[in-house]
Amino acid sequence: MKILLILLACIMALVFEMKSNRKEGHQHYLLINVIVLLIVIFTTVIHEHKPFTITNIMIKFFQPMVELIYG
Amino acid sequence: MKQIRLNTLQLSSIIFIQIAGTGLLIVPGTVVLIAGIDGWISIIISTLHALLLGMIVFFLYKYFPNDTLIGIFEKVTGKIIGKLLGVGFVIYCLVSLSTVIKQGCSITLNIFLPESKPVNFYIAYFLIVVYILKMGITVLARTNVLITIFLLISFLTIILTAIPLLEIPLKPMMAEGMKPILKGSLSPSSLMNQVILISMIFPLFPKEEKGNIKKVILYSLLLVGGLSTILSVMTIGILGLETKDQYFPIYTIAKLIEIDYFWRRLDVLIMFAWVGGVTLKISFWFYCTLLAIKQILNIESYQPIVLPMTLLIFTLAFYATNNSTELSYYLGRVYPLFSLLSYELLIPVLIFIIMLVRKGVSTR
Repeated sequence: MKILLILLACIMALVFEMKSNRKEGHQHYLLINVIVLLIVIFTTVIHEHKPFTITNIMIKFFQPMVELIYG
Repeated sequence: MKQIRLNTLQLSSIIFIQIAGTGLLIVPGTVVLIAGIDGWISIIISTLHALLLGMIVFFLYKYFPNDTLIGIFEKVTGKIIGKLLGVGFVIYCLVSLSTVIKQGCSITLNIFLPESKPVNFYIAYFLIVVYILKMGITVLARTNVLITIFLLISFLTIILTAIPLLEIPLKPMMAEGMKPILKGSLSPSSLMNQVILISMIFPLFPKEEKGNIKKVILYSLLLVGGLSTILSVMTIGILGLETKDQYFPIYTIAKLIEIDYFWRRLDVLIMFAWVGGVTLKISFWFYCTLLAIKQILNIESYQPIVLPMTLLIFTLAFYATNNSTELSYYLGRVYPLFSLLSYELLIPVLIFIIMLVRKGVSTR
């Protein structure tokens, strides 16, 4: 369900930006927009299958240092 | 096209909101958790620390007044390393921004409106941020001035009316030595050192008031540091060591204030300060991220990528943590190390040293 909602939001964002970019003559931004939105979909799909989170990854990475400083 | 310039008031309000937007409300709780009753001394140390970084930011501005941080990286370290540092800066901004949004939404949800659905806050913040960024930096700067004035009046009102509630002495001072105080200063330092973000808007600084920039940066930092210290002294003096159990101690104090029948429920001021501060903080962070991306990809304008990038950041924020315990542990212990060992201290200091060495070599 979440993936579908994100997909819908991405399509809406893309259409909206395409329209305003065409009006202002910025068609070449389409590629950047598509790449960014693909990252959005990729992030959602990954998170739905494996619950990786930014904080989790950062905590694992900095744990030894945190223990050293804060005991 | 007319070159946009900020005035000194707008610049100082951006620095103020950038730090105080979330800092003033949560810092007293986090410092008391680590440094105990001496938490307020930790804030003084972190202010001194931020003043040092503020001086480095000023010197960077003095040497590169027309460049952003990404441009400075490229000029000081060369094209390739500069671009890599720029990409690192974007990643640092995305990580920080996603946790700031998560923090903003989860606190609004847990404390102010517990029966609402979290997705509502994400959508509300999303729409406001997109609107502000589409409007540009001038709108953001003007709103910053308005909210800064409101924040200052709110906090001064709360400080003055909470004085009769003070009853716990701040003693014994430094009973456990300097170690906990220094450890406690890391968390507020990670907030105060976010002053480095203003190096992304060096080209927008007022040119005719170039001599005042140092004063603007240092006075703004002193204002935030002073206000945070006073608020910490207040919270420790009223709540004592209970402060550490409160994620939002100022909110608790605001609820305790009661003068006759008419002067009560000041917590609404805190709610407004939090929502306004978080919104503007997210917007400015995001503006800096977009400027960095614009410069790295060498595109003319950031505006055509605002909407997809906002969607990306809000998706990252939505999936930033599994629960609020993980988030508070991350913000209190991990984020200070991450930020200070990257773009909030280590890299700016290194860049400054390299710049000085290169300037020294070239003058010789």
